[in-house]
Amino acid sequence: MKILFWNTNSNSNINPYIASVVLDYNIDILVMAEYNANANELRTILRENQHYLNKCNTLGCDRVDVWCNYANVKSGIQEKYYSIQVIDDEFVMCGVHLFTDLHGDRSDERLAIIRKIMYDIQETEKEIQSQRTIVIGDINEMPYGRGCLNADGFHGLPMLNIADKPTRIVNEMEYRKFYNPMWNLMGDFSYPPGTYYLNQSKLHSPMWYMLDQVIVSKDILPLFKRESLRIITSCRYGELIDENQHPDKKISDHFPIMCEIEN
Amino acid sequence: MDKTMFNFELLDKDAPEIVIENSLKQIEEATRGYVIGNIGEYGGPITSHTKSTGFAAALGAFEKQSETVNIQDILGEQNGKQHRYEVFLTVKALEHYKYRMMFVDYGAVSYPVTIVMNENLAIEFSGKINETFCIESMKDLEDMMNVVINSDTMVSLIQSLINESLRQEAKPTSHTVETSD
Repeated sequence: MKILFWNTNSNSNINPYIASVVLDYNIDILVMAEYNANANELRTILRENQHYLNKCNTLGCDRVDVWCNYANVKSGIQEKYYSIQVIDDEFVMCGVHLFTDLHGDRSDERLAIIRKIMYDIQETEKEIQSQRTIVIGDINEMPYGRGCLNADGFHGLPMLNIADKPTRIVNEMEYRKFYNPMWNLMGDFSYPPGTYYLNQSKLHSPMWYMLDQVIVSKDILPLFKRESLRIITSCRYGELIDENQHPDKKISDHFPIMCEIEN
Repeated sequence: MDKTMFNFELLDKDAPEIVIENSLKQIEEATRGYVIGNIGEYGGPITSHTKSTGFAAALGAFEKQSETVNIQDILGEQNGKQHRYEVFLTVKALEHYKYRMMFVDYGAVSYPVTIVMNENLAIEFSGKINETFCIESMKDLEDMMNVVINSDTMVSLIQSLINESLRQEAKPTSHTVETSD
């Protein structure tokens, strides 16, 4: 199961790039935020290349689109900032697009939404009797942000092994651990150091941000292919970077990310 | 204290969840059972996306949106009983689908009841980006539900859900992709 997420920055001409990335990496599940292009055109391009992705039901979710080639996909709860899909009656996939700090710190509100997401994920897991969960999308904060790292948020830890305890207790409350592999992609040991670039006139500014992330449950760990995790900067149709090695805003201000889960 | 001071005629006779449940029936009737309105107890966090001025913005527990702290509200109810519900749509042939319309929250006293509404519905209902409403009476709650259920947002969504449900019904049983083309 190859999953791609891309915040397409409302670019109505982005379809050839999307299709190229999907075809290059043989993507099974395409999750998008700010998708504003012609869906029929995208479908046509893919079908002309014998690649079939159906647009999933996300009615009620304004900010996330999900396309999939799995036969057994059922829509779960659809909220403004997230869409839950159940795949093969076994995997809970939650596509998210949370709000930004561009107009002021909204980390508290994001954490509040994330708590609701986690509640809904856990309710879905109970319904299908499976804890194989993948959260993917534009979380609009860093992996060390409170929403991503707090035990009462996504609890996306930089390290989690199959043999580890599945939960952590804080003040007599038990919190389930999740794994955030995006921690491994930060910094300049590999390029790019993030999925979004913004150089602000602020004292505290990493400039490169890892806003687009995938966070998985412990049950996914044996299935998660580490080497598949990547930030995509080019495709056969063209480069996604500008002359400064940043995301080319004429295409999108975010790089897409992908990962593979065995199933 | 005068014996005639108090009114013993029960005005708001139905609890909020009963009022809402009755209002929701029109959805199932109008859609021939394809879309059903539900209300159920909710154990998770309720959030409002609007930052409260002057308050800590952490919203792990529900917080009434207001500009000032009303100490009398905090002193008034002491038994800690909380009633929290979610109001949501489910759809025939879409096994796990759920669209949440609002949360309902009240304590030991049924009214006023606090409603935290889906943002899109709230904007159409009030014309403002304000998701939290304090509903004073059963009649006001009935009126609010009627407006929301018959809003353009809801009607449009419900029609799309009917279409999706019909599409699923028409497919062979081995093929269960839910799509929204």
